[in-house]
Amino acid sequence: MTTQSQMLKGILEGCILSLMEHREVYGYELSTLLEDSGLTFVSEGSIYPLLLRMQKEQLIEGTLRPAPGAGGPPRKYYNLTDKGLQVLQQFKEHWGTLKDSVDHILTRGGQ
Amino acid sequence: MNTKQMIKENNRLQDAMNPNNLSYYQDMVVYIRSSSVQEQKGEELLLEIAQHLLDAQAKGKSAEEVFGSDPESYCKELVEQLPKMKGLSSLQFHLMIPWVALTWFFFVQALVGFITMWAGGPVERMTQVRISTLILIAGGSYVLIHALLRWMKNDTFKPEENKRKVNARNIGIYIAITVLILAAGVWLGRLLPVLTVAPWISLVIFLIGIAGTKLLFSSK
Repeated sequence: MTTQSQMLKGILEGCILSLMEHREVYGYELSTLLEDSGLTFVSEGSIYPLLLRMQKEQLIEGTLRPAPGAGGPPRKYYNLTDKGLQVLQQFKEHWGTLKDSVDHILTRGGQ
Repeated sequence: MNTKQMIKENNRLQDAMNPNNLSYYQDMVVYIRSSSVQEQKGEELLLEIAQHLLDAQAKGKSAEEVFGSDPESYCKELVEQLPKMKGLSSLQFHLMIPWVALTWFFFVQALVGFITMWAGGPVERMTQVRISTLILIAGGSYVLIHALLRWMKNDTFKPEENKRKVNARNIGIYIAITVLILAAGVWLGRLLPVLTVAPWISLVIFLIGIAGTKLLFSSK
């Protein structure tokens, strides 16, 4: 894996954790949320291997149950675990620092 | 939801797929179900993917657009992340084929025995079971079924015209393997003792085998 795709995966993971912070989401919903935010480098299907890995690392939990509303098909809903919440906090801090540093360089670059 | 209910729901969802998406999806089903992953988790994922595909289909997207143009490596990636079968279920996975093969061997053994008895033939010869025969049936069935499964899996994502043809080379390999197994059988046959199993004992073994199949291998 290239450094770039590894970096993107890390960012994607952080975004997924963040989207699950306040409410549970299911797979298709997650992919639309990411797309609507403009994260178009993520192909829809690529969230599933990632979701599986995040479950294995116990950052998120998935439960299969009927969709709200009568007769809805069962869907797998994901939410954060305590560990996931911690990792999300770390991501937010790291991202903040990284963003500040990069912004700093970009705005003052070449001067 | 148990595995059976999930498979049922899965079939229901497949009915709603258009032909192109259905064919793409069914290849994924074959690949994932023939991998040694935890059944429950594998079915959960398949259900999730089916629903995603239907949602995307409603928006006019194709399976290729959603899961990429290389389904094989996509499935490989999924299987790598799925929890593997462990302990008991892995044992079940490996034990099932020899178990079923031996169960039916004893059924034939009982049947032939009873018919010989009824016809007044030489029952004694019919009731002899070589231990080497049992080993060959167990080992042979295992190798055969796993080879077929692997073959199916490797061919899953190939377009129709690229599917492995039965060619002279493959036939040669199978003949060589068969000869090897038979040679091993003759050699083992000389070493290992011969058992005498009366037809009714064969019948009891068969019944135990069937009960065991239900108990050990039927999915919950």
